[in-house]
Amino acid sequence: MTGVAVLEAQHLHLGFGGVRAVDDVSLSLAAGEFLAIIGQNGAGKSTFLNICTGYLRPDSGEVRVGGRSILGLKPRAIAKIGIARAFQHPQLFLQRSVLDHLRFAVSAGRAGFWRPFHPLASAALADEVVGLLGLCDLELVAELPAGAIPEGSRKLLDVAMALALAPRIMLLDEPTSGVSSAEKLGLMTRLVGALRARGVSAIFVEHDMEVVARFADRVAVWVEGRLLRVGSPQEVLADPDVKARVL
Amino acid sequence: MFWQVVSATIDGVTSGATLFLVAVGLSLIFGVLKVLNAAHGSFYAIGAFTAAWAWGVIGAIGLPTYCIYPCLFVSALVVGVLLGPPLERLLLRWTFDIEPATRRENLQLLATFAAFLMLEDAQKLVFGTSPYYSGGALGLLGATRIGGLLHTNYQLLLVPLAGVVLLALRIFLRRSRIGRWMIAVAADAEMASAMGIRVGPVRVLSFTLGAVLAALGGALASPTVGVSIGIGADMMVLSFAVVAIAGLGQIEGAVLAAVIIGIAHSLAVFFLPVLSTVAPFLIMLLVLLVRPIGLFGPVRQRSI
Amino acid sequence: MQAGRAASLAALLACCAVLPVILPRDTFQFTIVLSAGFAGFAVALLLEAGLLSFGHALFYGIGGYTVAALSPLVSHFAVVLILAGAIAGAVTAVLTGLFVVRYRGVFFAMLNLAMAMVAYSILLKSYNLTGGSDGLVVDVSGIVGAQLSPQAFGRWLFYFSLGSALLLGAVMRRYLRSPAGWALGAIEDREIRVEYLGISANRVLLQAYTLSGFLAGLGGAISATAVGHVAPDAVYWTTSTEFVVIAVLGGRGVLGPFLGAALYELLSISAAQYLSNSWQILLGAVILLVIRFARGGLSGLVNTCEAMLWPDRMRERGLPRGHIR
Repeated sequence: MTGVAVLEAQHLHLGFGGVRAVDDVSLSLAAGEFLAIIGQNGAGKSTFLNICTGYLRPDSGEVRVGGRSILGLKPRAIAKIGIARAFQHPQLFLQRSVLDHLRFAVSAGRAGFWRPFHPLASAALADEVVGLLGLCDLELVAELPAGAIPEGSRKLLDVAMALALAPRIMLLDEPTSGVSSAEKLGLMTRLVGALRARGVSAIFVEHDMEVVARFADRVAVWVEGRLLRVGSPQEVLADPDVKARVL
Repeated sequence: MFWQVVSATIDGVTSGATLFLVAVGLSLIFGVLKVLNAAHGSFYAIGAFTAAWAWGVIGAIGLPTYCIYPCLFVSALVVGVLLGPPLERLLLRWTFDIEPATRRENLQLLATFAAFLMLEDAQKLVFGTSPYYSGGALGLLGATRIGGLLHTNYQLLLVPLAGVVLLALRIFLRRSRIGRWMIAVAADAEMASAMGIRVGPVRVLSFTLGAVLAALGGALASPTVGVSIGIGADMMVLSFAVVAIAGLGQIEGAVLAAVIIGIAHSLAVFFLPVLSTVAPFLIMLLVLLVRPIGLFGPVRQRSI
Repeated sequence: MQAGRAASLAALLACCAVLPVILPRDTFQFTIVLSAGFAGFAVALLLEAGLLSFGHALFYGIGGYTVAALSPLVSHFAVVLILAGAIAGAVTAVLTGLFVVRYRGVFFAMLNLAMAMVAYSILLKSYNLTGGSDGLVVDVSGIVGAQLSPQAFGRWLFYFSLGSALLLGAVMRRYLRSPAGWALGAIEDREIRVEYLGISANRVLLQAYTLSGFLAGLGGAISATAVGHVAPDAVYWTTSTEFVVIAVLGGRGVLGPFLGAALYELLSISAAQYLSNSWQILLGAVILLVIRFARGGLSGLVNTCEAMLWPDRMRERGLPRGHIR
């Protein structure tokens, strides 16, 4: 493990009506690291992200960011600390255009947000918005309402909105699901490149092992709420136990 | 003084009984259909009008006066069954697929509100604008003296009657097949549909049952109040206050809330008339300030 | 704003401006339509975020009572009085908003109703302060200082209201195009996403709620000034529901509620003549038809016509084609 931990989860427990969604999970994310989380559906990966972003409270355990506990903080406060999240099921404003989504997301962190006569489509933010459109391959669908674009683009819009917050830590929930396999690698290369260039640390939940092998610094294997193994992609993906239970 | 308080309390509990019936109907409709039925007060009013009208007819035909008692129940049943299904079909069936949820809820609120407006005028056209009095039905069963003050046995009987209805409802919901379907749809309509439960008919049934309960509240209350235009609107607000305090969808909690509201109203009428119309609103505001989901409201988690 | 729209708006304004000249006896009616339009717009503003208030008569009534309370002091400065009424509405909105914006859906609707009804009770029972059920007389006879004849006053009040509608319309249009205003629709659509962007939905809503209170207070102030009287029924739930109907009939945007108010007034006048016992049946039926088949209200119908006649215009406005509520 290199560097200081920017995000640290310790002994997290969360149960839903008899099911242990998160069972004594301890995980830490180093600065600038890309940590992949793999595991079968329903194993608790999204729940873990929900806890880290304040949407759910764990029954016990601790989550620290830069040494400070973030438990009990609401999603809004956590977004302000610099943790951004993209969702497994994209959470979008279906009636509004892609362009407006990005303009809104970019305005969100700025002081001008609360000025009542400051237009959303102001020129000052245009560069950033265009940059995000290009990065996430959304130029062609920019004018369309979010409800009318393909699933893959919707996921990318979700990611782009998270990026717009200029976070220090990104939590990505299956960022490339819905994107065609031909485009996946290109997209991930661009995304990861942009994140590394900005020094962002990231956790991403992923099902595509090729993506995991190429872009992850470390891999955490999730089975039924517990961590089976954490290690480098080479070690983990070669592990027979992991292969049997996950792959 | 003490006995006056007791008397006011008893009045509150007995009026709470009919309020409970209406509120439980509203809660049921909300629980299963997730709709706040803004026309619910109209069911109460129409039930009351029908019962009061029946009293007049009984007198006119020359039937024995105790016939009014079964008539009360029949009125409620007829009103609920005649109005429930068509209203559900006209007002709500087209809304269930609308997203996002906030827009759907607002549309449902507006639709049921539109129905309320139409039913108010319909009541005027059918029953006329003068009040109906069926107070004669009140005295038939005699009265009891409690602490020096007289209470009609009719009113006192409303309380155990409400209890019986509550019990019957509980048994129905927990033991019967349809009742369990209602609970399933209330918990998760999508899941229930996936399990093979036919959600549409369950909704119609629940709406109708809610309407019958409200109409029953109105019919039973009709001898105790002057039945006139506007009681529907008053009851709508009161029953919402009960449901809000208890927590939406809570059946048993509605008993406690109805009693609280009933007693508060009664005591206010007696000691602080200035507050009497406003008391239910104040209590609702206070409760929601402290506990936004109501006293017994469920704590639900949404998953993303 | 594009040339086409600006031209249509100018034409509409010109028509409105000559109304007191063509139909002098109805000037009062037109002013009332404008005041109802403001109140309807106040409701429509919150409806952008999915919040339906059944209690906006609270701010409307407070606007009116403020004018009534202050009119003995400044009876020749309607501008000041009306502004005071609007501010009173805004202040009330901030105070109640702090509590109410935490709620959504039916609770929001009903809590607003409850607060308005509590105010109704207070206004009704405080005879010494508010005249009880008799209400208060509003005696205003000048707009900006000079005393005017009743006719002239009525005319100038109308022009003042029209001017305010224009000014505030432009202001609110900018507000709706700003991030905080855009956020209203986002909150209705996916509130959790807004929170995840670090924005407090409640704060956005409080801002909108305050503006809404200002507008409704303005409407009530204008109405009280025009009528010359204010009574507790200004805050009764039937008044609130009128505004809801106007908002639904009118639809989105800034012009919508004013169109809705005009339509509502037209319907209620015709109904008073022909359908006095079934006015509410008509109203209910209209509401059902609108929410079922013309959910965008009048402004939605205008948009549809525009989209059919000039399909390219919709894209220029930054709206995806066919964007109608």
